[in-house]
Amino acid sequence: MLSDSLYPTSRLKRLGVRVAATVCALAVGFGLAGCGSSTAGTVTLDFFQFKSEAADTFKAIVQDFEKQNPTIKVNINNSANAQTDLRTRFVKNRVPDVITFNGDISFGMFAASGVFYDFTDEPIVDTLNPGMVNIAKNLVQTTDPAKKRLYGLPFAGNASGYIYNKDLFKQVGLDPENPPTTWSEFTDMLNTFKAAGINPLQGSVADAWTTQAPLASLAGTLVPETKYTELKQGKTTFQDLWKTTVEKEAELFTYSTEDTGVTYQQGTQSFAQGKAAIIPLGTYAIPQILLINKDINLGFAQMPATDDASEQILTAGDDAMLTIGANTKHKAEAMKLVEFMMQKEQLDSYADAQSAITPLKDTYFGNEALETVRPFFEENRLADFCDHYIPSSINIGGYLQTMVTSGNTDRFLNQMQTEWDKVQARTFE
Amino acid sequence: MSNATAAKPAAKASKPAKKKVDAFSKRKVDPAYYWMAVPAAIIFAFFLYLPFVDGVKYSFTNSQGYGDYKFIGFKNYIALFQDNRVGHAYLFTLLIAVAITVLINVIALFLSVLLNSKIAFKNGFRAIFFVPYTLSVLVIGYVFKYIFMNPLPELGKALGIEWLSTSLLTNEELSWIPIVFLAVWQGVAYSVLIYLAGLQTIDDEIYEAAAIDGVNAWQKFWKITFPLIGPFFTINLVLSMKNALGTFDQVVALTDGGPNSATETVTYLIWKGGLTGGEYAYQTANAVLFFIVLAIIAFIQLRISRSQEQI
Amino acid sequence: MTTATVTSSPKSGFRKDHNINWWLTAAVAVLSLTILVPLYFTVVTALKTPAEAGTFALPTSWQWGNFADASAKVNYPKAALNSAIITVAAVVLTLLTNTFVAYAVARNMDKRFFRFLYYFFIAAMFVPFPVVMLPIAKQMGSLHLDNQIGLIILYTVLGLGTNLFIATGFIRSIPVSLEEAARIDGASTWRIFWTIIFPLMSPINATIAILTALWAWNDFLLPLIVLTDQSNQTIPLAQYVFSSQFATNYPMAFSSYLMAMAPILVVYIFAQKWVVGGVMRGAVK
Repeated sequence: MLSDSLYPTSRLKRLGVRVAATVCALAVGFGLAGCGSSTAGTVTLDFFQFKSEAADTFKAIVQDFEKQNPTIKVNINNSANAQTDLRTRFVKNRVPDVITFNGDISFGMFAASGVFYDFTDEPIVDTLNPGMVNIAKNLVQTTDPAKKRLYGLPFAGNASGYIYNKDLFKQVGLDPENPPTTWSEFTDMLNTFKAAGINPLQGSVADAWTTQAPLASLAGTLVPETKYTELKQGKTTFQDLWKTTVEKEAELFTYSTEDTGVTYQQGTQSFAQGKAAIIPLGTYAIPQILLINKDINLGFAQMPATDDASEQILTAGDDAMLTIGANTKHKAEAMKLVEFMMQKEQLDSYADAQSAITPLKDTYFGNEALETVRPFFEENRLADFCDHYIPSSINIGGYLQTMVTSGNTDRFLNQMQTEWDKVQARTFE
Repeated sequence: MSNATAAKPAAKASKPAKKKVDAFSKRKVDPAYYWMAVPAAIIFAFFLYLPFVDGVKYSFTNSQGYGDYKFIGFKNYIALFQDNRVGHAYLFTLLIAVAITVLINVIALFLSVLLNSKIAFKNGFRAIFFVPYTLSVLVIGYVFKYIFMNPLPELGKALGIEWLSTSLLTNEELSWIPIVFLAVWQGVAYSVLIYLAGLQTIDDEIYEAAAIDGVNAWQKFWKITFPLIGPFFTINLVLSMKNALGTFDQVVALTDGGPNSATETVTYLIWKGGLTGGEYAYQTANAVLFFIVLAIIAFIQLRISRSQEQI
Repeated sequence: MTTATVTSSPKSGFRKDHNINWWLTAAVAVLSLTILVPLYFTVVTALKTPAEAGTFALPTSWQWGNFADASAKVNYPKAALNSAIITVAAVVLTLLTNTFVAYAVARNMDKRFFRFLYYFFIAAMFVPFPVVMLPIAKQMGSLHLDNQIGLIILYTVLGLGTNLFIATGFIRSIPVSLEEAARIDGASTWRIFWTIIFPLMSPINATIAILTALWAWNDFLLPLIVLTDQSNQTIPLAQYVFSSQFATNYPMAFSSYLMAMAPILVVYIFAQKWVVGGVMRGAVK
């Protein structure tokens, strides 16, 4: 193709200087990047923070840490879309030094791929609530039980159920300190509000993920966690697994008089303004509600799913996991930050700010509204969120959203089964 | 960036060059020209063609985008054809692309003729209609999201229009409307300017002659104006189609692919599935498939515009 | 000057220039509301209290403090600076490099190699970005170019196909005789390019600059996947993060959106004639 002389030996040098302009940008790029992150004794830690609502709390913790450790600088990166952002980091091979992440299936997939540090044998683990440690170990997405190790420390826990307005309970003559313990009592309570002309249940269906909350709350009692292994082995189907749960959720939303266009923000706002009796979300929604009305008299309760009070199991999760990138260059400094954050003082301050549950053996609730569920923690009647078993490539929120608005439970269960089968079929291990 | 993608002018440009090939191909080229173009070509290949080849490679693996992986042959591609979420994304993308392209061109043609007529404040209006193109789709998308979420359903309730009383964004059957609306609202701006540029190439004397023959306005448009701006129509069709097939920002701003995956475009699915769902290799295969589909569409457009040229 | 109209009578062609059709003007004015009303809505919502938001009415009391709050929340000055640096650098680098590539290719289209290069660059316009999005994220990360510099390089490189396409036609219309005179005086090709051709390319350079600037300033997808560090965020990316965090407070969100749109709107208001002219020139070639 090249018939002409391409070798300008005589003028090469002169031209070379000019051509440099074309490639200099590249050189500058490499040069700058080559500088790395440590300069003259100070180490900069790259801290990936998944919970945007808690940005201020982490900022305060990190500032304290930097004061105590003048040679360590922490660069916090708050995330808009933690799952995507962290995975993009891995794809770009830019694994952060210290990471907070939601204890969900994605965490388990990351953990299984070996990108996180293995904390199993660290002494700090002995100080932690064994239930919450177990949840974290179970998340690791592997079929090999020996590989279910601890790839992150539980930093804060949450629970799923419903948040209720104690003042409205009193108004219709219900005891706000003893919320319903069976499904019949629960629906009776909703009917009482309906009869009193108060919106019994605030939906926020426009944000699809919020419809997953009641599913998780109900499944905690209705579906034993061992069933999901059977699902993976093809021994059971979603029809068997979730039929009752989904039907109960559909029934639940018949009590919602709000239209389907309500977002999480609008829903929590209406609830905070006392326009509805309950909102079927987890403890994570409490800060959002308090943000709008800090004087609201809140309660939080487990959502009963059967008519036997002793069967009830609380759905709880490791809302925030704290971990270290497996191959960080600054392991000592990263560990120092992790240990700093795992002190009771820091954990409590986070729990207070986020109405969360601390991971230490002596459980501390960041909000007194949570005291109603203390027995579940003490008796270890806990189950993980059922959607933590569903791969994130399945749009469960979307399907569930449609189920809630249409009431068509069969369509939902069949969709889930088809998607599940497809994902299983294209997971080539 | 709006890419002035028109196959036709490109083809035209090469025609005179072809003739010269025989006469001048032995001409000695100053090496400086090679220094101008070759390094750029290498860098270009490095940042565009290399990732492309890399993507094709990954599409035959089971990679998550990081960690170990192995080659699995065509399994990703086979799975793609069995995945109705993918199928729906292609169908949805094609349908809204057609809707967006048609609407943009009809509206832009109409507007450009209006803006080229004898109106006052011509330049002022022209400037106003280009404003959407200067705005970030994402940011103005957030503004429209709010409008679709609150004031519009209120209006629907007030007027007693049932389908408008709840937010279009959460309605599985209608959630395409806001996406198409935003794409058109923004896309018209650029197309109007291209049509205006075309209209200005038309000599006024043609209209004066037509006026003497007593041609009415409708005939004038279809018999004179439209054929004369034909090349600009082609450019606009190709351009708006290309942009519409890549619809992404609109989806992120308005619906996040929901409700129930109803508004997932192929681009959105590649990003979402590849980086959120952890199916990096699977979605790279999807990207390669998308490339093939787009190449076919481009080829068809090329054939159509060539056949038009012959008429 | 007489121009084509759709609805005016055929005789209008003979009328005097100053004959303005006020009915059409009114129609255009009404249509322009589709652009102006959303902008108006953004402005008034940005200035309201959260309780007032949601209507098209003017605010009862003007909440100028929203801007300060939003600015602090998104770290607006930093994001604006990042966007400005990326946009300016991308435009400058694009003009300084893409033009001579276009020149080399346009002047040697008679050579098979350069004609190959022409299609090599142009063909890339048909490789849509999503197709290479995932591998590019990977590549930029491994090159440690997941920062502003990486973005500047990508805008300069990925725009080349389009810019080449816009510029070659223009360059070919510049008479070769101008260069030959200089060449006889002993000027090198590079010198000829920078002293003669580049200045002559000003109109098309303006077009390239405008299109590149609008692209780099408003782009969301590239920064989304390329940038890693939060301190590097561009304005659209900062809005994306912001909207996920504080969207309950709509007036504050809207003041943030308004601040995101404001810089380019202000530039546009002052340069609109030039911008509109530049974009139209790109279409005619």
